[in-house]
Amino acid sequence: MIELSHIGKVYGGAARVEALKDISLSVKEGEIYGIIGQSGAGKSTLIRCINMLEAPTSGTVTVNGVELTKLKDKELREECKNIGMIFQHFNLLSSRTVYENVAFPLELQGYSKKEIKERILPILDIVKLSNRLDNYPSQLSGGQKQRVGIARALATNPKVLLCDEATSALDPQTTQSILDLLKDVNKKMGLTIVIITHEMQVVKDICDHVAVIEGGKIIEQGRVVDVFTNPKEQTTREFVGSVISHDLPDEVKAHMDLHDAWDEGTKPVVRLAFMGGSTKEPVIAGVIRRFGIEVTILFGGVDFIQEASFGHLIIALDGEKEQVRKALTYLEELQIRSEVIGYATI
Amino acid sequence: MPLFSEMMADLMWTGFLETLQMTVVSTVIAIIVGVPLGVVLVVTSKNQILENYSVNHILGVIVNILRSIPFIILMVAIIPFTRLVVGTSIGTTAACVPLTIAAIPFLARLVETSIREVDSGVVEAARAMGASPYQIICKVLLPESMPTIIDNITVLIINLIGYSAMAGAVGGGGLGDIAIRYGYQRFDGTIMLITIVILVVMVQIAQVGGDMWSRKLNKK
Repeated sequence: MIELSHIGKVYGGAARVEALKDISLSVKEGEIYGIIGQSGAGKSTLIRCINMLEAPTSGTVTVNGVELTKLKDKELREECKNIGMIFQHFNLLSSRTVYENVAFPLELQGYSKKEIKERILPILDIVKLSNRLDNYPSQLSGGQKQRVGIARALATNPKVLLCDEATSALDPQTTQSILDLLKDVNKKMGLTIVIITHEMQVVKDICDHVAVIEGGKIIEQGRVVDVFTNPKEQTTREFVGSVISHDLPDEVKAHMDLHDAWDEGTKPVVRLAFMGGSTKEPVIAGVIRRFGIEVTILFGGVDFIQEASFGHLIIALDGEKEQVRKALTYLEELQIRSEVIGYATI
Repeated sequence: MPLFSEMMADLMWTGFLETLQMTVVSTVIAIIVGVPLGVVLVVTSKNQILENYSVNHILGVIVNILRSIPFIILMVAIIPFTRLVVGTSIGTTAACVPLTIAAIPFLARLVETSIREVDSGVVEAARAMGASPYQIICKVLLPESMPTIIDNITVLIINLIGYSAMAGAVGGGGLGDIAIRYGYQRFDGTIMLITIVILVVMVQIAQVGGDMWSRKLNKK
């Protein structure tokens, strides 16, 4: 549905800034795609390249089979009508009522008053604003303003919805209701959604795929479940760690001396990650029974990423070195992810 | 002898109408020319929807030159132009020409500032919806800044009432002319007081009316 190929964006002038470097990604129809990064990572520029609010300096953007980077201004404006966008600060027209704001994009396209009414009343119903048609944006709460933003973006019946930090200005509860709404329209209308955010919780809650962007480059991308259970890059770990703790808490770490080498008198500390079904197998009991070693549980927890359960456990293995080695091999052969994160005396 | 003769009343009424004429004519023309000029000054500037350095620069320089000439000098300096436009350089109609010439750049700058205050995010949202530059101007920039543009026009009207008195002093008629000739040169304190009162009332009406209208439009 959306195909970005080798996108680069350079801001000229005296202070030459390379905002995006060789970014390629593809978003399938009906998918919710998250792009996460810290402020200044280039994510805002990237999403603006998708609807050409910012023209990339190199590479091609193809949305719904049309190569936007080739179009002239006028043709581009036509194509933009198939791409809705919502914003962190809502960007509603303060001089227009809720109804008039939602009618705005249709008005731009020259629809008659009657057609506009027929199209937007059901949408205002979906976003639960039917009772606030005559209110002005200043009379609404943040969450309601974003609902108007969503209704306005959906009024033209677009195929793609771009969300620019759409929940960053909202409190956690309101964020949840907006995310539910986005998921709802994604399912009901088959809308393809691209979300940029710096909040991993947003990605965890509604995204199918995620790309992590840092310094204008995509450093990691994949299915949300995979990225959460097995983050590879440090930045990704930090993001994942903000919602799911993978590492030993600092308090625990402070009490033990973690080494990189298996010295005499130290025990391997292993991180285990379980997905879905394997969570039910008695892994720890199995290790103890088979190899006759002691297992100390240092840290653990179970999380849910959308519908899939995801557990992780950090354990220390103690016993005869040969048996411990066998236990490690056994763990590696299981359908779970295991990783030795160090050796500690405890 | 009555304090205030019928002849005097007639004189004041005529003066009031002349002041009103000068203010209204120059305000209307200034709005017709100055508001679009203010819009052009914004949209042609850097990183705006119709960025155009030369147009922006040339208009900016013209506006600055006109704004830096004190009104009393402008009035005299453009007498040949005034003659060309209205056929004479004396009288109320002739005074409208320099008043308008001074009012246009004044309003244009004020409108420019007001439009710049429109949230750039709203313009971005309109661009994302595929709005043309013309649609952005007419459906976003102007409606969103309308309350402050009304405030700008109020300031303009009040300034023009003041300038029109100055124009009166050099043959343009109006209340200013009366105040100088009767109030100052003939030491008629009553006339002086009455013209001042009328001018104050005119300014008050403009201010209160403008405030009410602006507040009615302001939904922020």
